[in-house]
Amino acid sequence: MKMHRYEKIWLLFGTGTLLVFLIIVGISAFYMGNQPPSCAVTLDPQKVDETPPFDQPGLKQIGEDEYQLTIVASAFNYDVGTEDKVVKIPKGSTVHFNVTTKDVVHGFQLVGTNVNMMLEPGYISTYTNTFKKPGKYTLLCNEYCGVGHHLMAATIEVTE
Amino acid sequence: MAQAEVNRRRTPEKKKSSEGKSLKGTLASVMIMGVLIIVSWLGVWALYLSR
Repeated sequence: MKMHRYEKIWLLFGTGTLLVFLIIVGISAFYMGNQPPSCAVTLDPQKVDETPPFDQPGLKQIGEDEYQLTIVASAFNYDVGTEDKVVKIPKGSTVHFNVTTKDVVHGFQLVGTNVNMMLEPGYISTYTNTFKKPGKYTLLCNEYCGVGHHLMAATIEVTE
Repeated sequence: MAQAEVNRRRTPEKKKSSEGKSLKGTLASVMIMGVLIIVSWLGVWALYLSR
């Protein structure tokens, strides 16, 4: 088949770009171990309150500068383990978020960070993030979940 | 009159004309599109890394 020289150039360019993108996705998934936040880890959504660690939501130190933050979402609240819904974390610490929902699908977005997950009943969503910059980060629901959706929020405060 | 028009269109002289066309504009637009996609991809990636 006779092909124009320019046509060969742009076909090579397009195929090359596709290959580069696919290789990056492959390295990210199989070498660096990146996976979706909810990776088929399940629990009984009706027994969330009795299932550890969700029976005691809140911040737990598990190492030097390393924390596990367990949160239970429900309409229309995030149970972060504190009365005022503020979690204080020292700057530079790594936090493993461990979250589930008791009722419907909720969102879990920590504004200004890469923490952004979907919470589905029956599934545990996890994400690990290191907080380098101090400040107040708002945690909010970005999946419409009902009439109180806009009231669903909490705060993560990264202190010096 | 109409029949003459049809006959004229059927003549096989059109077959050759597409081969000699300049594809410079197509190449340029494909490359501009490609560069735009790569730049926006790199932008999102930089945002992801910086957070």
